[in-house]
Amino acid sequence: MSDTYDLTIIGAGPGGYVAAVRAAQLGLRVALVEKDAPGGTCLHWGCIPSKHLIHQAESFRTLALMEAAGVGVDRTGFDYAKVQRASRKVVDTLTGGVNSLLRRNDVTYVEGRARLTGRRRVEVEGGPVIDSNNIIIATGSRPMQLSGFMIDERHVLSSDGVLAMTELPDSMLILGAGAIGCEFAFVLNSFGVRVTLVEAMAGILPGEDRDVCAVLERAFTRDGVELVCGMRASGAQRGDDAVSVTLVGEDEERAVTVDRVLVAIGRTPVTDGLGLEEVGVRLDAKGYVETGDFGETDVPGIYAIGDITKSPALAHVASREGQIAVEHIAGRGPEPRRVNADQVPSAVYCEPQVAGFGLREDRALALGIAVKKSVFDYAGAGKTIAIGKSEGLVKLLCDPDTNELLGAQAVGHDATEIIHELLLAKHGELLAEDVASMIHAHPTVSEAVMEAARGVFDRPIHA
Amino acid sequence: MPTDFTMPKLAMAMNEGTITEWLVADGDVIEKGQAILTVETEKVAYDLEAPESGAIRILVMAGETVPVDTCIAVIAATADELQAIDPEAGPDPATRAAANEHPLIAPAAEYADRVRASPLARKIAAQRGVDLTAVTGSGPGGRIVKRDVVDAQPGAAAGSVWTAVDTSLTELGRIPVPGTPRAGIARRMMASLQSTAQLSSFWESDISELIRAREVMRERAGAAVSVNAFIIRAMSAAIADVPIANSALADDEIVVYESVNVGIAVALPGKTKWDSALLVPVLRNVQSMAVAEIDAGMKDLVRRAREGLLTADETTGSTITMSSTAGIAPPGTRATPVLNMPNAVIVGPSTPQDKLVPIKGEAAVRTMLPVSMTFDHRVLDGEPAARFSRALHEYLENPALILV
Repeated sequence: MSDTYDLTIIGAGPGGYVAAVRAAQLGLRVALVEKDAPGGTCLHWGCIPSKHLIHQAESFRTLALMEAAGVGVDRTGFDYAKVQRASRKVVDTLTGGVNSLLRRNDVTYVEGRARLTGRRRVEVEGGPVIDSNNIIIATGSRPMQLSGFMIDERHVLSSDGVLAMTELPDSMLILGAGAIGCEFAFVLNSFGVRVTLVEAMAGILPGEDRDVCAVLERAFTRDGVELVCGMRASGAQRGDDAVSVTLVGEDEERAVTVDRVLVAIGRTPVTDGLGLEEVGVRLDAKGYVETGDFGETDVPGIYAIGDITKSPALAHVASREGQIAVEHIAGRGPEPRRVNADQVPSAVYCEPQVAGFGLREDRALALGIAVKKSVFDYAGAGKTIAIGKSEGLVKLLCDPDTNELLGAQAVGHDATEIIHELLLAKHGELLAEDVASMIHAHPTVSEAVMEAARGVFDRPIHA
Repeated sequence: MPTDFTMPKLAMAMNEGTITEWLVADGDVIEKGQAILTVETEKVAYDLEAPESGAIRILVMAGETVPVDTCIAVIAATADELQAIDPEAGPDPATRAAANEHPLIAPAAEYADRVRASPLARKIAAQRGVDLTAVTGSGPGGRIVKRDVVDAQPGAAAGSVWTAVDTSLTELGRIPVPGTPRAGIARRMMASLQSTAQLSSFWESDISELIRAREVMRERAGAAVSVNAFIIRAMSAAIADVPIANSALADDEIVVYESVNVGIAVALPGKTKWDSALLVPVLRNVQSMAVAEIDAGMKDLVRRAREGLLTADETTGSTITMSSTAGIAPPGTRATPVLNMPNAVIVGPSTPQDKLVPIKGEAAVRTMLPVSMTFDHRVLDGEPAARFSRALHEYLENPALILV
């Protein structure tokens, strides 16, 4: 492997492997280095296995519906280990898919730990030295540690540990009510685990709209998840098979004893030990790589994408950034230069689901941006009543002069799917009246989107 | 199989064409090579020939403007085959013709069809009074999106609607813009400044020798050769030394041309007594021409530009442009003409002036020509640009090198 590659990518997550395939499509000679298996956190310890568990949790819940119809349900044989094993099988299937994708596109796949030893050189531990005209760093992130809560994956777990867990504890305390915390709260609660969800900020999902979060908070509380907001964990005492956690609020302190603790306070970039700073790549105090247009770092020819940059740590952002960097390297047109933050969808997959993009109402208020707001309740779309999923809403914020879509949020059944109609409208610069005047099939959940759009400039029919 | 006949792209800058007249009727049997319609672009009108023989079905009526590549007619091998074509497949010529009899409503519909813009861009344009036909789209497939409208300064570009007119002021008159050559000029100038990376350099060349050579030629041949003919000859010689100056950025590639086709900016009178117009006829294959030949070709083009007799070929296909800025800048000073897209270089000679110049320590009166050169930095960098301007300077100062 002495000859020079056009592009070497370090990290085969959704940022790196998508970039590698795109680069190969554009005719570049590309090498992809990965220390584990291709697919990254998303495929192995994130989105994919957790979506399987969520799906299983939803199925488990619907047993109650069958019971209501008179079906006798015997839950005694329930074995969580089988559920967990099935989630790993999904991971294996998709890993095989990524592998064959890389093979079909003639990407040179190199297994091992990579390190930059020059501005155009990557050394793989116990492997080859790769000379490359361009390098993309796509090493992703790992769970963030919380002081006093050293992760042992036995009593104190990270999200990796929960996904590897083959036995359900009786009780679990989740520190951090972001997307990861909320999704695991939903899964564990559905399978009968007593869940305490702790968030230091005033409410769950601090990045999302308050009206939207209120719907999810109501659902959690109804289902028996204990929500503790505005308190942080100050320390833990580990017993043989229990952990005692001290929670501190503004004028309150209490101790909670649980079987397990999940630390889900965020993720931190993996940029150490790669030799980045030695070749001149600039990192900020938290270890994020400083990037400019196309994800290029201070060193021309070295790019960074995904969770190691300051853009939202989402698989779909990493994939898009990878494509932007590769198209620039391949000499494609000057646009786009970076991901448009207003058009990045967020998605939380518990039931009800939460999704959104663009401007939020609290930010509009804080920044003094004038908006026209329209909120439509899921219950107004007949389909949601028919399928027993009527909790939810669609919320639109529009420019008062033009009805340009500035932001949209949805909470409820299939919210992560229906948001894309609004995102396409935003992307294609369609207006609220375009969405409202488009015929939507009846009965669908998407009718709630149409009605919310109508509410921007007129009155919805079913409200 | 019937063949589609589409609006051809006759110049790199041509995006749309207006059908001024069909020279054949719908259903006529036509011969290959026969002139079948007249099309008008921003610059000139010209006749299009039938690509093959057969029976023709006209899809777009005279008077309509359509983008390049739009199917405007279908040619079937025989009249029978033409009958077999589903009349629903294309717009019914009869209805379209009828629609055109109501010119009061036709333009609005046509406007909506012709401009590709997002709904948001249309709304903002309507609110701010921006004429979308004068806006260059930067969205997917060249679609006009919000940023294009926001960036288009209403009132700054000709082509914008007169929304900000203060009617309390006494007016001399008004000059219509949409559909006139002014709209095309405005669009091309804006597109050039917004989508290229223009950089200019300036110098003075001593053309005393060149003026003397010109005098000698006048005495011998009896005809005055224009200084501009010498400048074009010098540009052609400099291109031979630095070919990248004679190139264009097209899509993903820089095309470096062997043919030296020099665009020559010609000022023309406008529609009213206040305005003006501008044409850039093209003198082709200058690389093989001597000064006298260039002079004759140039004068013929300029004369016919003024008389409105140019053909399509004569206003398209330039690879470099010369635009004399004499008149814009007083003698001895210069101005920078706007790059004539898709050329990478434009040379702007100004008015020469006699100056006292030290030569070997003695003051001498020399005729100095101020020159500006503007180039597209996307295509060439300072180094080749400097070599080109230096070569041009050498040839202007030493006309013996180009009198071959």
